[in-house]
Amino acid sequence: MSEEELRNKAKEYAEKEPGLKLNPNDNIVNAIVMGLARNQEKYGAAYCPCRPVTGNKEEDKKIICPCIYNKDEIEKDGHCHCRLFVKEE
Amino acid sequence: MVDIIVYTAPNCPWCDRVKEFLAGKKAKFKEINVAENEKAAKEMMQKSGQMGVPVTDIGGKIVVGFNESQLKKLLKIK
Repeated sequence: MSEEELRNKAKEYAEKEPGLKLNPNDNIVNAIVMGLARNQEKYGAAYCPCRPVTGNKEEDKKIICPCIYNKDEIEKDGHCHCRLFVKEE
Repeated sequence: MVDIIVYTAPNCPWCDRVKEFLAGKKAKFKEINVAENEKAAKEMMQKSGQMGVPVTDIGGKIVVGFNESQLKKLLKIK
């Protein structure tokens, strides 16, 4: 998946899910998308760049962006850990 | 000088920001890539209560993510 496709995937997720949106700061989005693309190239899946890949496929499924933690983090902190998604006010 | 450890993962942009910030402040630190060091990953989890990176340990005080104001406070700089 290219950076553009990864960006679009994140955008589509943010539009579909209630209570969150893509970070309005393009610099942050670009940096995270670049990290996702590098992980995609290195590991074969778009793992969150802000979480370590363990090598355990089942465990690592949890951190494919959007990771399983994002909604709880957005609710608690106003953004997911890597700040790709933020709370929709 | 207080010991500083930065727990990182490859391709993590916020890890780069923390390292750039510390280097810019001439603060010496040890970087540990937790994707290649399971023991350190557990250590980071114990210290911070979560598995996201970066985590910065400044003399036992923990900063999760890139939080410039918190880093400055713990480093006692402006």
